[in-house]
Amino acid sequence: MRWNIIDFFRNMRSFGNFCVEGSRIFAGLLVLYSLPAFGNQEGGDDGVKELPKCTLSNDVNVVLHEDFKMNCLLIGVVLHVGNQDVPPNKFGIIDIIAHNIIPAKMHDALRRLGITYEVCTGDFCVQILANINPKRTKDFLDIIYSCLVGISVENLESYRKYAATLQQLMTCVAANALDYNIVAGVKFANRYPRSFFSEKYMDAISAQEVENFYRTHFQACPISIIACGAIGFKGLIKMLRGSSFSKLSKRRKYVVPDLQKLGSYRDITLENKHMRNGIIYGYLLDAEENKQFGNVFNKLLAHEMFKHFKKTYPLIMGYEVTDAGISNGRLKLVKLYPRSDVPLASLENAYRLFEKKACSVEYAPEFFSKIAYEQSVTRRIFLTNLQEAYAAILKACLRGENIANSEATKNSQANPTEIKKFLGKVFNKEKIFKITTKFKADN
Amino acid sequence: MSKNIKNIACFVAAALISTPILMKKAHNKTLEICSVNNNMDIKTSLVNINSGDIVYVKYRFKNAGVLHNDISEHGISLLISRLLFNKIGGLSAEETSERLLDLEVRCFTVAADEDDFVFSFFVTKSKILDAMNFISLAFSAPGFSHADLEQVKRLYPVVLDPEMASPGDLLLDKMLSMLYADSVYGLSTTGSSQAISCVTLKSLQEFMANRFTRSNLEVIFVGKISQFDTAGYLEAWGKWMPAADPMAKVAAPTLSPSMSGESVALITKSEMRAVAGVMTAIRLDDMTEQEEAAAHVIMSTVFDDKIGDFINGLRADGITHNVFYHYLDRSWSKVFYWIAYIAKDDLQKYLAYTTRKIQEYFVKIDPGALEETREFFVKTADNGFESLNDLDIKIKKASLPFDEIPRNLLQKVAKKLFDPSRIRTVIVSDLNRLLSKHALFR
Repeated sequence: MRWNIIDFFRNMRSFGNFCVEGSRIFAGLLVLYSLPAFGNQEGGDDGVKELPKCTLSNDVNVVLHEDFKMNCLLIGVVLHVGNQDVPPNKFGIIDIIAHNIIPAKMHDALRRLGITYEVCTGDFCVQILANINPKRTKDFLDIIYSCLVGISVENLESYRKYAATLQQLMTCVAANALDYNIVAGVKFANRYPRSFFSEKYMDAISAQEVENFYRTHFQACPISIIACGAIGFKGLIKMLRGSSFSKLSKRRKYVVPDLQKLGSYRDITLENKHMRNGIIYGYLLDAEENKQFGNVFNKLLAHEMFKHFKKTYPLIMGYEVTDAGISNGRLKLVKLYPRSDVPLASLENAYRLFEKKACSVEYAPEFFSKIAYEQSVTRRIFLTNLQEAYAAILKACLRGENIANSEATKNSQANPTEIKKFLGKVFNKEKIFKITTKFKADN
Repeated sequence: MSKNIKNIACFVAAALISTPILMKKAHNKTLEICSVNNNMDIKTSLVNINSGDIVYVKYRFKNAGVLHNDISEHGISLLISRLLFNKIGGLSAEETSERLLDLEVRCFTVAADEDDFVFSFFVTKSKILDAMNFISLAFSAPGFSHADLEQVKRLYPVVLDPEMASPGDLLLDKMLSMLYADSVYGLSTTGSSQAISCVTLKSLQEFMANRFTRSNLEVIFVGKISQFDTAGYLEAWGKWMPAADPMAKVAAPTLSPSMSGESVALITKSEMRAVAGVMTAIRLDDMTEQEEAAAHVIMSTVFDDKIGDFINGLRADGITHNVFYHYLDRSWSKVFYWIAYIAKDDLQKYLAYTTRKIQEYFVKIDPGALEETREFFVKTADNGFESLNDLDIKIKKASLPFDEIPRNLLQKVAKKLFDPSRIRTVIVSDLNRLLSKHALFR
């Protein structure tokens, strides 16, 4: 566009040319605005599309779920190192690093930016999850980078005392929840007793061991960045490449953990005055089973359990069929909460009957189309909640899958005969664990 | 010339069409709650955002929550919430969940809060009216049987078992009874098992007829719907409710300003073993928005769990701790409190430390630290929201005037928050008697 602003006032022809060019510019802006990278607020919402993702040159994986509804960005830096990497008698190292060392380095800087965050630890990963203004993405990533390039173990003694106090506290607040003190260990049944009594292991962890663990496991651990919210993919990548994150050393490739080697049947009973009566059954599906039937397993069991326990056996206060925490979704938990006047033996018998019945029921195709319908509505709902979207993407990342696949669209088309066969297999093979909790007054 | 006029006209048209669209993208979107006028005389609000075809709906019946139950049926709201969650309109529980599924209703919640009774759900736009009509059967045609009532009563006592209550629940219940000695706000938030055992079907029906009325109902819609459509939904839906009767309005509670005489209380719980829990709290009534914003700034400055002055001092003194602050945002009064879980052996040290700090904060808090925190809240308000549900509450909190707090107001509110004569302390421990006050608070 060539025009002279002074001539513009003198010459209508120049003004006419300006208008032509100006119209083209407006038209161009409108076209650009309609593109997702520039934040199309009317973007498709069916939830099954594959999300934009890429891998940076240092093997950091990035996944984005765009959503401009509420001008918010939920961003998680996921470090793929967790409790499964910790030696059995050193349980607590991850907590020291994630809840003490990392926040000490970044808290002030994040606070000055107005960023609220939390650090979550689990068996497979440590997450630094923050709710930020999208404009501050680069600053946020710079701060996280500074926490990942090295640590110094200060205040270990005070943290150790703090963690020990917390552990004791958990055992007395646990009385209020059936599975509060079980959750930490339920994913790895053989680990359970150790996580429950970790206060004594905490005392045995030295600063040198923490530093060694950090060097071995954290410094090159696989990293995923999951972002959900008001940012375009191109913008996000540009910020990542412009931030210190691109200077991080090359990461190890993420390997989907093999739970099978950790899963062998455990029958654990916990009995003390902190417990409520209850039972948790854990089932581990292999990757293909989970893909095909994982979602159906949850829905079907919940549906059948409803009929079985509410109608026939009014023994329970409640039940829950769920995936285990933020694990990769293959570990299914069935939790049963009996009424306080119901003996646990009666509940177990009723559950065994339920298992037999669930394998034998004939399911009409309409049942599964209902599940598919429910899933499609639920999917649209979850897209209104960034935290749910984030959790679904995280699960998919941990399984090494695309979010579209992990929505298990195949589940709803599963053949009723195949499902019956699958259930027969699941209920007949060894469960990964059964954990029974019993209230027992002190002697 | 005509060509130029045509070009100019194109330019103006392009500018007029595109500028609002581009401005909408460029504008730093600020969400607002707007009132919706309607013929039903029901207070209705709308948060208009582009959420595709999903809408979030919330009904709030003011003053129908647990703390507003008559003493003789204290906890009836909780009973009703459990009943309604399972069964609507005489259908069985299974039929109810199937029907909700058919109506594309998800995340259906029924809750008896301390102050209010709340229903909320997500629904697709095409089914809003059907869903609202179905859910309204919950209060217009409850359909509970004696068996339903007896079953839910049987489950009720489990909630109240003090032996199994968490230390936090025990601390809060005791603290509230101290802060609101003569008022409903001092009652337990879980009701009374004795009162519950006396509830009949008739008293349930009477409660619902008196408390679920147009005069104390507020409805909130969140989604991509117009005010016109929202008013239409209300007018099509609300006909079943009797017309608002100003005389029937459920009254706000009378809150006596008096608190209990004891400033320190002890709860014995043997499971605490080597841990003690200490709650310190103050009650503030009739706060302006500015004062409320100031209170948040002060509490965060002092009690932020990483860098707050109170925490830093505990670390420096070698007191093992887990401290967090919280605030109860009830309709008619606020409570600001902090809970510390500490090693029992440090109890005396901690209490002495707390007394010293309260006196210090009463006089002065570092203005630089307050200013930093104030800026943190201003920036945080810019971060946006993660989900549609409870957006109305989140917007109200985020829009507190953090950017308009004068310095002298901060010091004035600090004097209210840390007034030693009004602060109350509750301790939970396996101790079965308090040491002398002198020894504890040396």
